Amino acid sequence: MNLLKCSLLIISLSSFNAHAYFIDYLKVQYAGEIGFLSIGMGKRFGDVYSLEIFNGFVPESIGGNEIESIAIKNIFDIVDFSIFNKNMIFYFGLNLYHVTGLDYQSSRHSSYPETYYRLGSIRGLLSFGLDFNLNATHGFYLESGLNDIILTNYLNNPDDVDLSKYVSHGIGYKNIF
Amino acid sequence: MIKTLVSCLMAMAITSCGEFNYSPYASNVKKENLNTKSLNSVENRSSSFTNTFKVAVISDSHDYYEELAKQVKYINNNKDEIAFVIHTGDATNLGLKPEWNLFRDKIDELKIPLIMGIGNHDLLSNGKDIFQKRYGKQLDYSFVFKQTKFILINNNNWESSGMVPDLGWLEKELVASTDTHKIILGHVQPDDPERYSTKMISDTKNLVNSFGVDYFINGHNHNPSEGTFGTAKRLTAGSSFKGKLLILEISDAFGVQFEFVKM
Repeated sequence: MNLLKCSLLIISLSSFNAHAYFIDYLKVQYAGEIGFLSIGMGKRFGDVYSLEIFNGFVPESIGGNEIESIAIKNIFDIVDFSIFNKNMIFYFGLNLYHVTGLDYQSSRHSSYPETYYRLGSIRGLLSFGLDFNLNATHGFYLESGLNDIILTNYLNNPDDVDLSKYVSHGIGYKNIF
Repeated sequence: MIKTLVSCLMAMAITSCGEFNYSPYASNVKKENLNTKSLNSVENRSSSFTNTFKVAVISDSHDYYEELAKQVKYINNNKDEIAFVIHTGDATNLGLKPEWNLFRDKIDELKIPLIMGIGNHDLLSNGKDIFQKRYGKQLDYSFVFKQTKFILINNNNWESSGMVPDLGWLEKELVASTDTHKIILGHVQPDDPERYSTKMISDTKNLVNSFGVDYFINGHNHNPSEGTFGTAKRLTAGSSFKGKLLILEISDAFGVQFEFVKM
């Protein structure tokens, strides 16, 4: 239900001329580790950096368990160029996401002593993405990344972890104000 | 030049590797029942062994894949003497799907059957769901090989619901056994004072004593060690990280013996 509330908030914001105050665009994303579907909003700061926040959801029928995520993405533009007269931006993402629900917050579960386990509900994701704008209002993007579990395991076991098997892709639509 | 390179990189990323993952906390893995398949393989291997055989016990491999690889290599090099492998749990740190898959990538290199137990870390998040889909619904189960009964029991009480460890079930297993040797394997040391009450420890010990259990083998504590639990010998298999592999040798002449082999 949080995803629904977030959607309603975003719809009302977009009709409120919210970009004049604090957001520049809305996004809807498929996969990319933050949900089967996630909805987000972003604000651009200067020429290179954007900050985005997402609320994502995986239904039980798809993920095996119902999962809700809240993600913050730090997007850094690396290079922009044109293909077929469409503007494209290649970017780097430093993302953090939190999975809601006590079952995932292993450091705080009441069944065992506090701090018996380290914090389990927050993950990091390093990604690269390609943003392409169809016009001034609509665009699509593609992201590929590796989460902190995979990266840490690779750093500790470089000969035993095949990174290519664990890249996570996401694809999304962007509505620019 | 740049646009071509970038476009190629992204195209390569999408087409050649990875997938559209919804969440590392998801538990949407295929139902495979690998423990049942392994037990069938163990039974098929029975004709290849006399009443003298070896069993390898791995534990707490977590994210020590390099060390786990060495254990797998040793086992494969001795696969004609070792009938099967038992993992007493903690194949992961947080029970997450990518961790289970990383473990699978390594352990699938084994050339002999693997029987999986579950550890406390494996039960975090949706780890239990993944374990039950991949390895089997039962967290408490037993099997017999030659003259020995192996009893795997889930004793991760903090991370489980209901009666854990289920001593009523354990007693039934021991009552039903007419086997020469009985070996219990649980992830946690059975006399862990932090997790178990004095009564629980005493009740478990009474079962071990009453039914002449030979060994209680656990993981959880990462240092390989030996001791006693009631009239049984107690062994901590130790983490893969510690560079040793527990090998049990069972024979009619000498009963159950063990060795910590240096990797």
